[in-house]
Amino acid sequence: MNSELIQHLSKNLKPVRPARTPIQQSMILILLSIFIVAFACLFWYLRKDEFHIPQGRSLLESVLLFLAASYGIYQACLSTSPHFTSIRFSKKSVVFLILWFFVLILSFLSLYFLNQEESLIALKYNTWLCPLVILTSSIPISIISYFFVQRGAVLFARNTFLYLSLASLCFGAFGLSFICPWTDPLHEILWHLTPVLLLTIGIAALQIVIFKKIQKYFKG
Amino acid sequence: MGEMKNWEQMMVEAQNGNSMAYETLLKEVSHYLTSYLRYKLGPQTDPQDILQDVLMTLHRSRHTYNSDYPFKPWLYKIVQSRLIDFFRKERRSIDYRLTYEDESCEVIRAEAEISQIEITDFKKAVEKLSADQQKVLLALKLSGKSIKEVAQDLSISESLVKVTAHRAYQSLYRYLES
Repeated sequence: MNSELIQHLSKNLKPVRPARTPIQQSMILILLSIFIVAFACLFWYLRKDEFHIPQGRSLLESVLLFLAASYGIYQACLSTSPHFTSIRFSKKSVVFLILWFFVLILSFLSLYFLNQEESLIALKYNTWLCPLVILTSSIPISIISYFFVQRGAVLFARNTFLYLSLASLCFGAFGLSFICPWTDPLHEILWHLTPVLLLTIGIAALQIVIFKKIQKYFKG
Repeated sequence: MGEMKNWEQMMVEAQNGNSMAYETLLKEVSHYLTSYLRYKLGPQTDPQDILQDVLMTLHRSRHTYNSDYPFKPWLYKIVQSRLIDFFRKERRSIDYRLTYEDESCEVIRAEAEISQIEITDFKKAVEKLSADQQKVLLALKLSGKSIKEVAQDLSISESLVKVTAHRAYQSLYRYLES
């Protein structure tokens, strides 16, 4: 049975170009993602929100988000090369996200002890636009990175697509930090961080399902 | 070490479209992996299906091989991923059987008890064999090695391996019959 398969595989074997290294792949994807985020920010800026350069704490958050996104993409590219892939989900990929969470919690607490009313002002208004901006800018990144990454060897689909969706949503949140007029920490916890975490799982699950269906289709 | 170098060279040639090198590589790899998979899966499972899956994945991922790195760890990652998939599917099917097929469960349990008794008897029988006979038997039947490989491992002639194995089978047969 296997000898037939071997003959079938080796017959009409076409030359293949060796894949790029994970660093090269991730550099390309990061540049593409920056381009998409810039385009999405421009789109939202023209319509409603105000563009601004983050300063102080917001700048630190933007840097952390950019690092989380870039590292997520690097991990995703790493996981599609059998030379480097690992069965376990790398906890290092969420380090920057945890740091972002701590920055937000600490700033919320410090604001709460200084001015309780001001720190809780985010509870009084709903800003659905923030998760929408994150989603609209991360969906094109997820689609492009999905097609980019599945050209490699996706051996552990769960890990690869978790890294990818995490990275694309962090890029979305990174772009949002340039156009969101609300900078109070509770708003960012409720309308930036929480959607990133929830959507990461959702988008990753969707990508895994699509990937498995496509694989099954080609196997069949 | 020589074998490893050959596989690396063959893989690079396969990437360049050399079908002869690729065919040889796949044949050697499948021969090598058969015993490895048999060891990992145990005697109850036929490794051919997973081996086929591994070969397909290897074929699809051949462009990800980088000649700066050794071939074997690259191959093992592919095998590992296919094994994990297999065990996940197996666990799901076992869960299904245990949940929905109570009657079959009883049969499975009864069969397991019987096979447990047989295994215990068999273990006792193997313990009765001489040390050399045990070594030869385990290498041939458990590790799935060929007579030639066993002879090389134990530094004895191939004919002596055959004689030792034959005597081991006879002793086992006699013990289990009694």
